[in-house]
Amino acid sequence: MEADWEERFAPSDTPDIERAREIIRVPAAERSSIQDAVLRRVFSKHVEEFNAKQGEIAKTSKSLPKIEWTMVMRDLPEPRPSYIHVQGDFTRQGDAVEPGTPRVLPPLPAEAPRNRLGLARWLVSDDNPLTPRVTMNRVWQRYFGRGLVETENDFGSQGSAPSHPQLLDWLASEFVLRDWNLKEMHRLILHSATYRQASAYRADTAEVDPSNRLLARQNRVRLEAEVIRDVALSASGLLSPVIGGPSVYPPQPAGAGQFTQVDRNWKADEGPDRFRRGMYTYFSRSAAHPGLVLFDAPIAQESVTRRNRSNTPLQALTLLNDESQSEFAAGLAQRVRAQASDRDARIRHLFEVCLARPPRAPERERLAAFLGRMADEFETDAGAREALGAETSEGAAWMAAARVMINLDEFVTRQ
Amino acid sequence: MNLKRTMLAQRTRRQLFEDCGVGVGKVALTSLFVGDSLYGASSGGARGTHHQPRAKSVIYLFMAGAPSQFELFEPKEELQKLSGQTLPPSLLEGKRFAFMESFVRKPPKLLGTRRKFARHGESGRWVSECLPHTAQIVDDVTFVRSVHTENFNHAPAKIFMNTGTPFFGRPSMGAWVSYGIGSEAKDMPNFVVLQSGPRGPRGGAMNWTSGFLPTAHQGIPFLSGGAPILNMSSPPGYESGRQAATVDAILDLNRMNMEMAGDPEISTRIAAYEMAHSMQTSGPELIDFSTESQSTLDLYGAKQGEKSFANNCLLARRLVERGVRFVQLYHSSWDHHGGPGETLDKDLDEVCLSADQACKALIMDLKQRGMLEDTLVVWGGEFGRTPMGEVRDTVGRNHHIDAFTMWFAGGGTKPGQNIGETDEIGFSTVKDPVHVHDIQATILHLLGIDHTKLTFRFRGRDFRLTDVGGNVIDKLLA
Repeated sequence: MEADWEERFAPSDTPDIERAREIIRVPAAERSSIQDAVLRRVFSKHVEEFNAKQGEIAKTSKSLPKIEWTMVMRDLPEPRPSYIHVQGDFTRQGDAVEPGTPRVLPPLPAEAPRNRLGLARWLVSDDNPLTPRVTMNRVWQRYFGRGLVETENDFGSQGSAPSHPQLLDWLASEFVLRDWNLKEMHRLILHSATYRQASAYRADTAEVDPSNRLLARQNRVRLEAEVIRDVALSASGLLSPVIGGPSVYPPQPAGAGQFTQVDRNWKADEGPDRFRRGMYTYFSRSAAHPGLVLFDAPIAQESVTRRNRSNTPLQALTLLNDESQSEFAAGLAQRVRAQASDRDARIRHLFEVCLARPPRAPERERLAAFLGRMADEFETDAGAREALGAETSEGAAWMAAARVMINLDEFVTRQ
Repeated sequence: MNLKRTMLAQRTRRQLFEDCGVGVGKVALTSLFVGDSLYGASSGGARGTHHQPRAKSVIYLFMAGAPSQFELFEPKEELQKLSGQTLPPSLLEGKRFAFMESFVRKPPKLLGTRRKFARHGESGRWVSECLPHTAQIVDDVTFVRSVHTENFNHAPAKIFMNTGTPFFGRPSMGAWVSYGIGSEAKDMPNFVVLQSGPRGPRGGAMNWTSGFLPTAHQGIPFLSGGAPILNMSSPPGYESGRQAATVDAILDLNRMNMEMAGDPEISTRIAAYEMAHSMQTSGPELIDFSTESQSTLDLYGAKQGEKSFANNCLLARRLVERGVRFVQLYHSSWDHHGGPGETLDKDLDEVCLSADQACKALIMDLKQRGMLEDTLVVWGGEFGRTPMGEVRDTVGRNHHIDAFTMWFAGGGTKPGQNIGETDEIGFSTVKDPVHVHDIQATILHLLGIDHTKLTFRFRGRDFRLTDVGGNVIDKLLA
């Protein structure tokens, strides 16, 4: 079978006439299906009148709808024996194991098939409250920076107790009642008064609940790595909204691939793919895009239920100096200048685009002072202005101001 | 981080802002690099030492590819005599090697070395002619000749040496150290990775990842040549004070928001920007060798701007001077199977030549500056090489996990000795076997950390660098 397959697909058309001659010597009734196929291919390739049709055939095949292939799984007729691998080492075989659930959890029903279907049904059965609780806790965690159960990956005896057990159970039961519709649950949480609270520090609650477990206010949460790129792209007006498709190559600092065994050539995309959302960035595990890793994107080796949120000087260097950031700042400056003509209106627009609020007076004054200084600087240093790609010193100053905005803590934080 | 303490710091933020013309940095520094204030202790800062540390910093010279102990440190009379004879099959039973087929096809033959050995130093340590400079520092060095590991391919073995498991994604030693005892470096990352030789190490970033520890503890690769840190240079057009003016504006606006939002993370970010800006100055200073004397440069064989192991050794000393905890140098390639580019003759000579002098220089330089006392230097690969020859274009040696040599110097180690012994042909250890987890336990011990106590809870269980193993190598301690 394998040999047949190879024969059919091997790119061996050069000595094909020879091969065809050999096959013709075999009586037609005795030829294999592969031999028939080879004959047909050789015939259609070398006979004049077919050649004329080839172009047409190719054109027609191209117009056929593209079929996407995907892998499916099915059970082996006889299940393969499975073993515990001691400490995860595939060379150290431990006890043989059968499909089942850990003893601390409810067992699979006796009649359930011992396969993925059985597991799936067990996961969402009415007797198993863990699945909706854990799921809702993770959704909650994304919106509040921390789950109702802080140990989101441990609901067992070593985990921490929920801060609001009734709320968690209510969310879990709503989730089941709403047919496990995640989108509805996201909407439900987003519409809640708790979610929509301000996150500002409250002196009155800081004493009784310093870590804000009881959510008397919202928490400030730094954005995830990919989203930091997304908000800047969005503010800049450069975002390409294309969904899906192969990964893309936004710029990354030269030398980022230097520390792996193969320094793959990272050629930054030009055109719209340069401005796709962060989640589409090509991910090489041995040398992931530094903009992702520095902002705590997991390195795709271990499944993680929560990301770290670090806050480091190297992040500051990235937001300050990365090539992409300069492009975003230029886009944002252009957008703001097109929107309004006088300085204060532009500053207001800049704040609204970046922070979804108008500037407070001291903020407006501070940014105006910066703009004035930068305009002077770029007026006297035409080389610097040109380095920014700005036509006027005023244009360059607005790029500098936009760069300040996309570096603010508030810009990279859900406040 | 102690959350309550941080919040208390916040309550006095008005006082804090009174002198904030010079920067909020002071308070924020206590929580810098820390991670997530919402999670309190679970992702907090340094845990501190468990006992009096002997070393403050580690310089780990990772000889990527696995150097041959038989050509460098382990003369074996019996192996010389038996060279060319077939290895008794009983020794191969149950063993696993990389490139098994070459041993299965034809039973391997023992291979004596063509290198000449001599005893060196007052302590009379054996070193071959390949490493004439290393031979001069043997009295400052301890050779552990009985190291054994569990993984016979490069990437898993490197990751095992660095993270204590062969699986991708667990925190590396430098990250554990940074997490455990924190940073003294004011404007440098705490865990720096340098690289020289024809290619980077197999496994790449997995070797210096922070895994599930806070990302601030990950190893930061420094680039050779120009600016050592990615994005360290200001974008074009921001010279002559414009970058400083920009950072000032960012800091001021962040401070204004701090007054409204009162989140300690803002103070941390303010401090991060201050430090980032000072790194833009300290980075170029770090790689500027003009402050080094010509004799120091000559000692290492370092040349400004060159991509070399010698430069990296000098950089390592400069980093440790600046308080960096863990500097790891990868130098490739020591993978001498016998094929093209990996012969035990010319190619081994080449890599020895590129590494030997700088190793000596590093030890001598640290010593004369009084830094060797509290700087631990580690030299070694991810495994060793077989006493049997491997027949490729020439005869080389295959990967061997049962016994190989590493050396240690400074940082509270007892110099001038050999630890461990191997059998007559160097196949297995016969005395004082040292497992990779023992090495990790010992490195942590010298830094003041009990390897069984430095843990991090992840997915419901406490993880540690040494997994469930590891014993401190008592004989190594001074």
